[in-house]
Amino acid sequence: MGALTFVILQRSALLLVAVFALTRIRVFRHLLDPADGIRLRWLDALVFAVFAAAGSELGLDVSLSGQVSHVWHWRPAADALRIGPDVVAIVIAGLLGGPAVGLLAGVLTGGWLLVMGGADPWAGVLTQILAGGLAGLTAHFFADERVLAPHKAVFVGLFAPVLYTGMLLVFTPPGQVEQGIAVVNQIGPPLVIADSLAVGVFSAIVHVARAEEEQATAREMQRALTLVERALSHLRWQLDEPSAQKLAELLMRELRTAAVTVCDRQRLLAHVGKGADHHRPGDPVPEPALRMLLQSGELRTVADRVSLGCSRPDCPLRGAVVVPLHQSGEIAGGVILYVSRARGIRSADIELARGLGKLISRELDVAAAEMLRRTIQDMRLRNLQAQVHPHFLFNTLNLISGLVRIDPDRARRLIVRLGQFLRASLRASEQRLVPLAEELEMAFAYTDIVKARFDDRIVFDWRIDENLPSVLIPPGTLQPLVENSVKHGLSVRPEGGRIQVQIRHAGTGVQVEVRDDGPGFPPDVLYSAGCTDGEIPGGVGLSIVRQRLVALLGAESTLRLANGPHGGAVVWFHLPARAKEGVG
Amino acid sequence: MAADDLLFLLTVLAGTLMISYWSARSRHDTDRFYAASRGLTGVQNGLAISGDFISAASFLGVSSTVARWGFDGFLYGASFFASYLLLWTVAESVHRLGRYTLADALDSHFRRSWLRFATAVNTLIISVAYLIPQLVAAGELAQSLLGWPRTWAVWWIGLLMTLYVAVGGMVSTSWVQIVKSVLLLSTAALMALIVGARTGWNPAHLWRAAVAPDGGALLAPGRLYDTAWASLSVNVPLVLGTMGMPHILVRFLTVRGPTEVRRSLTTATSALGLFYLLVLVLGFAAAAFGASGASAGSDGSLAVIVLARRLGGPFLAAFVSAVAFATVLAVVTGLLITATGALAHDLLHRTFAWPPGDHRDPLTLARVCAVLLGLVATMAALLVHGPSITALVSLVFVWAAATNVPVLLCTFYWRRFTAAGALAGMASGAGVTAGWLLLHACAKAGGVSPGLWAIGAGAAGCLAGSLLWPGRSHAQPEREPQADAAKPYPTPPVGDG
Repeated sequence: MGALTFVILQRSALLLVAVFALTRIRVFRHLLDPADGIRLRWLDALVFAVFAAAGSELGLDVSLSGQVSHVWHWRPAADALRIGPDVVAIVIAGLLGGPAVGLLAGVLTGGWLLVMGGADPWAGVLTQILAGGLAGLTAHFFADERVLAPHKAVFVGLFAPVLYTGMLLVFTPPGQVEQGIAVVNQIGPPLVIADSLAVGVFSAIVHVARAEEEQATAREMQRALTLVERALSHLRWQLDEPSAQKLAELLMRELRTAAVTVCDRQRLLAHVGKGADHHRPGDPVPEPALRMLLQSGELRTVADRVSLGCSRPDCPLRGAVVVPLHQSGEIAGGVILYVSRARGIRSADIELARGLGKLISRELDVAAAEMLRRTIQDMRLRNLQAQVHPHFLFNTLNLISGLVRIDPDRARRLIVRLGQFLRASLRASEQRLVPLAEELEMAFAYTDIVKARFDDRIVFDWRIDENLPSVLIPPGTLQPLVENSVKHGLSVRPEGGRIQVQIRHAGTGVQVEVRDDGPGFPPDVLYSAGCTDGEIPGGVGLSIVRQRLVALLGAESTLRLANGPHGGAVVWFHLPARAKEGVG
Repeated sequence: MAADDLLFLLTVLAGTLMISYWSARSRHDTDRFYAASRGLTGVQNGLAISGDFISAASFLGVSSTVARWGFDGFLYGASFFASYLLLWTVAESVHRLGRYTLADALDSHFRRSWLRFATAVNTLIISVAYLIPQLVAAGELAQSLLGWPRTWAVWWIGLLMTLYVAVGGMVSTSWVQIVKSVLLLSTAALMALIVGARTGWNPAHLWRAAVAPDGGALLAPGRLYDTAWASLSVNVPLVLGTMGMPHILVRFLTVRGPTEVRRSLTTATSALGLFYLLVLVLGFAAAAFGASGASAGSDGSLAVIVLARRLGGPFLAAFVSAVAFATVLAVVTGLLITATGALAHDLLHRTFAWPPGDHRDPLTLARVCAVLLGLVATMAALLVHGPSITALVSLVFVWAAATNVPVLLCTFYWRRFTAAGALAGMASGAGVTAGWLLLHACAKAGGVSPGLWAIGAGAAGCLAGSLLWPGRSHAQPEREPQADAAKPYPTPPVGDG
């Protein structure tokens, strides 16, 4: 018994080595996944039937008289049984693929055994079929596990040889019962040991292959997540050319397709990769692709050149995945992943692209919401600012009505200035950012009115550098600062005062500073001077200015407050050289 | 002991231990320990029921009896199957009312703690009294199969059984029973196929070969029992007793919902029907192949094993022995968990609110009880000797039939049945059985089984008790546990101003 066990184990080991070597091949590993398509079930069953046939060929020939032949023959002799690890593969087929695959593999192997012949071939045939089906049912029973653990597989594998010996006893011709029983007792125990061990090892090999496959999937997943994270960081605000360019480059690098296009609803924003000579940013999107984007709103794959719609016959791009990008429920644009071979798109990449498209769409939604939030905030601030004006307007109108009789010339000039001022402040409520020059115009108009009102008790000292770079400023920023100085700085000094407005180079940008010689800020105001945001006590106007500056130009442009060395309040802020035009 | 025997035996042990280990790895609470969290599917539970149901007495006993006594033996086997069919009448109600044990079911119906106490004690008596002969039989089986000393064999089996229950609770019990059930069915089927092949696939050949040694007398009634009354006294308690066996009834608590109960009954019916058919074939085959009688162990109960040796040599015999061993293990495990439930859950935990305080959990209590009961039953089994086990088994069946069956049927089907009636029924059934036992022991006389009298006494007790004390404990309409929670919302007070 011991010797026979050893030899059968050796033969089984050969089969297992072959199986292990095959699981190193990726395509084969895919077969080990429980397939749900009919085609793959056939394929699975076929593969395992081939294993079983190989196992049968690796078997020993045991004649009914008990002679064991170690010489390899293609077919067993007419009075000999093939004793090999054939049923191992069938049991595994059932355990992995369920009853259908097990049964199918068993039937296929049974056919092979019938062709090969030998003594009692039907015992083998029935064993294969029953073992496959029963192993499949067992797997069903332990449905909470995807692959039966090896130690449980050993337990299941034990019963295949028992089944086989039972079938041998059933199919032994009546005249040879004694011989049959003798052979069964000769081969039974070795087969039980060898086959159950082989099933266990086979199952362990499958486990390892599965684990590797899952690790690969995990890596793929990791890659996808990293990609998404990076892609989103490029798309903080909206779909424009720079961010599209970065996105396209990133996708190109990570997905390794032939080319990547990012477009909006009309034109290409960026194209990276092959065909960049005639797919240029600014070109209209090829008509078929655009139609696909706009009509379905779903991810589409294009596998032929015609549907791609490229005008150039020598275009190297052969197929594409068109991923639409949505913003606020509408299609904002799309990402087109091109391939140079018609079937060059992996389904994993399609899924990745689909997920990416959804995530980018969501990010665009977030950006749109953010933009909306800023707009609402800006409108609220401008509304607040508008509240400042009526008093000024009434005072000025009263002043004008007084001057009309005394000094009609001055009154006329004042009306013109007031008109200019009102026009400027109207513009302030319509535009986000205006050139500094326009804002200065508004401030000049204001100071003229103030000077008329206060009878030239206030001296305005304008110090404006030459050759200032063109900078943008939120309209209605400078004038409230001047107004603040007039109100708080001078109201307590009936003899009048001096207000200095300095506009000078600061780095690449411009610094705007307003200083007066009044009493200066009270301490609690100064306490908040270090902050970049938030309310300024006692100064609604200053708070609004600060908020608009921060909201539209960023935290570095916040309004800063201080008291001058010789008394008086100083407020200043910075305007960056090239303001983020069109961003806010 | 041959290497074949050892190979299969070790495999069966390893397999069942693996099941216990695997079920112990997941987190346990009492719900899982006693009722497998009601998580078994109908098919799984059906197989577990048949695993619980087919004791060594069925597999080895029935086939041997058929081989030896012919028609009367067949009747004996048919009784086993018929007894199972009667379970259909109570299964759903037990499932609906019970939580972990049979006493739970009765208590949730009558809401009397003394009735719970009585039921639990009765369950404990039945389970332990049935456990002991099973252990003895297992010891003898191991002795004659493997050549172990009987004491050792009993100890080993007792230890394994205790381990399965204490470690894995109902989950591992169920799976041991499922595996055993599948193994037993396929083994019996395989053997029947071989028998078919040997007899040319012609039942008539088998028939003739089986009858031949006795010249045809095998198929005539009256070989085992002298009179119809004797036959009825043995078979009626057998038929009814199963319905009163707590270890069978608790199996209906491990599934969720009446659909699954019915599905498990259907599965178990098919499995058991197939099994008893196969056993019948094997029994006749044993007679035909000369495997019965003196060649089959001291009391001829090993006919199937001998048949396996005749059919397929020591290899097949070893396999069948291992399966028989698994059969024994599965049944004793089921009995032990039922006894544990009665002791730990019903008596200690619910009736006496023990352990006191809340720092000891009921799960630990259950495990300690399992170990204690396992040890006690094993030691008791060592004291009992072979020939008396058949008497003990039939006595247990009589007891279960007399105490539990009338009570259960009345509870589920008679609206005016009362808790007092239940107690009276149990007491009178138990009293008559015990009285007969005493009488029998004093007189040292063989006689007819007390079965019919005892069952009659139990039924009469139920009737009398309910009629005599109708007002004190009228059967209350079942109260859903959620009834209290589902009170209508209080309406806001209506102001009068």
